[in-house]
Amino acid sequence: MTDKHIIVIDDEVNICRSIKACLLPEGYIVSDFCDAQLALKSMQTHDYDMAIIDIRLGQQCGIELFKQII
Amino acid sequence: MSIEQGLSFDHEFTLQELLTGVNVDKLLQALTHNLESSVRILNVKKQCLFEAQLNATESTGTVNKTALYGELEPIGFIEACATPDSLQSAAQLIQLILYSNSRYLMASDIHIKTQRDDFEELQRRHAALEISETKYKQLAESLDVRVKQQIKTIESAQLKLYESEKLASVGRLAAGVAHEINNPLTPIEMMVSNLSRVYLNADPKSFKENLNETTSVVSEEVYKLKEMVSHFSQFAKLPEPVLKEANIAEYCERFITQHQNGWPVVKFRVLTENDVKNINVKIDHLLINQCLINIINNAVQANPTKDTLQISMSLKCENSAEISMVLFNDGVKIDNKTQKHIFKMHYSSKKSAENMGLGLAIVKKILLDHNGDIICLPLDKGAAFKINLPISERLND
Amino acid sequence: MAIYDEDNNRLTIKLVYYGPAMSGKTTNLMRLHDELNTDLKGEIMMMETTNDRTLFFDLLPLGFTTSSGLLIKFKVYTVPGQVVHDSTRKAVLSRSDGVVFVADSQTSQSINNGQAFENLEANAGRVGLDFDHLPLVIQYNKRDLADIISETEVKERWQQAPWPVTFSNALTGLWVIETLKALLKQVYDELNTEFKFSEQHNLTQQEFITQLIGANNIH
Repeated sequence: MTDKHIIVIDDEVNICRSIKACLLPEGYIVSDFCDAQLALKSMQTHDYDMAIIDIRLGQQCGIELFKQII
Repeated sequence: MSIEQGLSFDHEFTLQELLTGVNVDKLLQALTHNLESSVRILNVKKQCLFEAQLNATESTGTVNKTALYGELEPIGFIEACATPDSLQSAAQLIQLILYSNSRYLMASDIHIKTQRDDFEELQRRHAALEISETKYKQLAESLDVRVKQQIKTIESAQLKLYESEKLASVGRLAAGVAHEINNPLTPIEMMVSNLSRVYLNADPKSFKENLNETTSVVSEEVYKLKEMVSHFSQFAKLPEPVLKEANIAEYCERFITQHQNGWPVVKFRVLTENDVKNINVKIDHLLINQCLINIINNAVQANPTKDTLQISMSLKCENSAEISMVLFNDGVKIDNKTQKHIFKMHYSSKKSAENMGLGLAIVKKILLDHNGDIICLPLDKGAAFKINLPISERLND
Repeated sequence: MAIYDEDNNRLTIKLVYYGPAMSGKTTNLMRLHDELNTDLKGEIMMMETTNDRTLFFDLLPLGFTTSSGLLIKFKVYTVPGQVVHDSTRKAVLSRSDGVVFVADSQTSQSINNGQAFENLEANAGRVGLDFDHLPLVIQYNKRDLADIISETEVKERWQQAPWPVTFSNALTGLWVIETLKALLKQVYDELNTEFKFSEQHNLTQQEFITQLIGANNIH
């Protein structure tokens, strides 16, 4: 059991669910978001150890989001 | 006529010629009677042309001769047993006859000449006109040939363009389809392959949660796949229109009445110009219904946040052969880039304003099958489509 | 084209009075018939319609014999002036040796005169006459009428032309014979080369004219 916190960002909700379903049995804590703004907001208050981001997020660009995180 | 021998109308007439048409027998009879002698008429070379005897016996007395004058000079002689004076007056009488006849002969000769000249001129002009006409006929024929060739060239170019456009469409569609089918397959595959791992490694409670989650995701994605298949089938199975006559204004009113409930957020309005009130069109009701449904669905889906969406149908006579129906909604406008491709076949399940899927391609096909058409009108506010349909007949008032 | 008949030792010369309708061509001819004293003078043959309009032509035959025994015969014609008779005009004009163009001096006839002269030039070409060498005199007739073009203006108009211009009144005979004399001068010069009037027939230009006009008409 680890307590690493992973954030998953993809505008397809079922992709998020699939990734979450794969990671949860490994003991990770997974938070998933379909909207980039909500994800950013969450990152201000929570500390994440890893982020899995879809490159194309509907209206927004995943790479941009990445830059913002850094 | 001397003219036939190529002589000019004003050539020097001989005595012989000047007596043409004159009843010489009667003339001689009168002369012999008057001169009481046999009479001989001689030409200018003093050869005998005509003669007549008074009676069987030979007359006695000296034979005298006097000249017969033409224009200015002697052209012949009259010879008889008579005094010079009598002969002279006989000559005068004959000269009057000759003069009169020469008028006629000259006039008729000049008449024939002018007739001939006029006729030749006429023939010449006629021949020139015929040549001109032949030239123009040939020109028209060659132009005709060239036009036909041009038409063939254009038609074959159009055909090639059409074929390549069709191929491109199919290519785009296939690419879109492939891409879209892939999307649901990813989560399905992930969930299913993860399932057995969880079953083996995790506790029953976690497995149960995972199983529920898997079932949910798979069903949702399968549903999306089925929707796709249904849309394609709809497009593939589009039947030939079965045309029935309908008054276009009445049809629109009926459509709204029947379908209003399906779109509670839409407020419909039908606007008809006077000239279209009595117009009938030949349409397949179900197919045209489908067109309107697809268009209105798009409008509603593109404006999810609007409380009320105003949709108007404006009907008018486009020209003597077609009516036009403009469907306008006061929602978001269709951007220029999208307008260009809006009727082309492409498919996407993503719900955003540009992705109309096959809906409008279906609409376009249905309308083309009706000998009509649809175009997207460029607007700054709102969105509009213009549908054209052929008029079947005008009802009389 | 003067015709020489060897058998009869006769030279026939054709003169034509040409011009627009009613300009006085026939009147000219009638005056000549009355006043010339040629040795041989024939009847004037007139072929006219009921309104005195020339239908085919008028013809006045004149002639004299030279000292050498050559009979020179003149056939003097008029043509019908009305536009419709163009083919007749061509037939009469064919092979002429000299032309008097009779113009109507009235200002209202100016266009008709012009058209008739153009017609003369065109038809001369069509019947094979060399218009540049054709003996020609321009006669402005009807000088007795009011509203006529002035002599000055006429002379101005024809200044560049090589042809003599005369002014006449055919009804009274004024300058009718003089016009003919002016034409005969040119005809003599033109035909002398071919027919050798002075060389072979001892006939000067003056005598040529005198013989035709007749003894009493010398001025």
